[in-house]
Amino acid sequence: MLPFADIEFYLLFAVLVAALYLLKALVGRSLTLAQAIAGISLLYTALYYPKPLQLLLFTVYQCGLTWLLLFRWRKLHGLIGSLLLALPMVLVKLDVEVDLLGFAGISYITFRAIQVYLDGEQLRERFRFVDFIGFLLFTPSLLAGPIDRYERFKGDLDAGWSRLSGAALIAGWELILLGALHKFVLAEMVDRFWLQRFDAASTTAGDMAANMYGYAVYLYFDFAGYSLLAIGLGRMMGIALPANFDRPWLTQNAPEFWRRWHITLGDWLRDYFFRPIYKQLSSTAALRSWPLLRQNIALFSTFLLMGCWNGLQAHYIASGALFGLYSVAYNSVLHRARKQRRELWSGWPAPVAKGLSILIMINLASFALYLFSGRFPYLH
Amino acid sequence: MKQRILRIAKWTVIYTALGLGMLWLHDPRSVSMDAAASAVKFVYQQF
Repeated sequence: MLPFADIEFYLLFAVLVAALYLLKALVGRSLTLAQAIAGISLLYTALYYPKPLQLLLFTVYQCGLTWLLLFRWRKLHGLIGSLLLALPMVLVKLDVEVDLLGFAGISYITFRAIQVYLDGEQLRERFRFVDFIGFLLFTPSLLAGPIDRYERFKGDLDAGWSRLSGAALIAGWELILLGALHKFVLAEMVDRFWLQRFDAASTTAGDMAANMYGYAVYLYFDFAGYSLLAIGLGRMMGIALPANFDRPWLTQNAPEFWRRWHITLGDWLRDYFFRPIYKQLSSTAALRSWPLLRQNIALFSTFLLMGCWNGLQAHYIASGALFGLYSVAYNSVLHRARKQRRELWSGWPAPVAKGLSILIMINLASFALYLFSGRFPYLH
Repeated sequence: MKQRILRIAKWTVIYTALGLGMLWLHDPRSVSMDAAASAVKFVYQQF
């Protein structure tokens, strides 16, 4: 059973949601929503998720380590603590052949655990194992996000059974329909009638352009569709997972693109990678008088890391590096314009400047995603 | 009233597009996303 892709998955989910509403009606006074969510997520993981033993062992590792880091090893440097939490994921990415480590969704669970650890100062008082297990293993977002935040997730759990209502079911159902339309109809049509008609290995300009734009459109419908499905299923279970896409093709520059495309990953990288690196660089004496260089190093490293995280193949790394270069270039041009006390595109009528910015960004993003796809014939 | 009509029109289009699209593109007994680059398959293929 492939999550989100087989009819059995949706039938199983209907049973899980029905079970949740039944629990509310029958034992709602003695059982909390948090306990029910954690229980259902564990049940799904143990019975239906591929490689359940690996996932459950990893969850025990993350729970134990997060507790130690939050309550016992408080003086440990944040970087070392984060690396310990990320160690299994890093080993998997480095292709270390240990069967106990690899399972789908390891990255997203790791991101959630690191968020709890790095926000520990604010979260320590509110940390509860049952909430944490539900947060790590929440069924709709287990495989590929959206990457929620513990304090927001816990807020929904604390609101209790009132989160389960007819309105939640309707809102969830509508999101699921939109997600299905994106993923199973629009993405499928782009794949079948566009991408599959062009040879990915062809080096003619027309075929390469068709592959580049086709893949960008396909990936948007596919991933935005998946995200809507996950958010809709979460809503039915009383959890309002954050949005992952917000009209990314209307973006006017590279940093804005990542605030609209895979939003929760972009936000996570900004808060838990870019900012700590920038802070560290700011305390480095040699870079103290070079704020633009500090920003650009932190920006480029963040996007390079994102590329490496997808996999250590050349096309992923090149795609991440390219997004990094886009951001560095935009940041430098913006810095220069501010220094000269002028606007970017000064002298151009606003609608023309906006239209051109969007057009340029569509092409830049499509090319970087083309590299990411592995279809670019000159990069394997 | 206008908002209600717009909402009904919007969801009529969505239901119709989804229904016809699913019947046209998929075997209704086994909805599956076979495209090699699917985001879900991308995560799965790594393991």
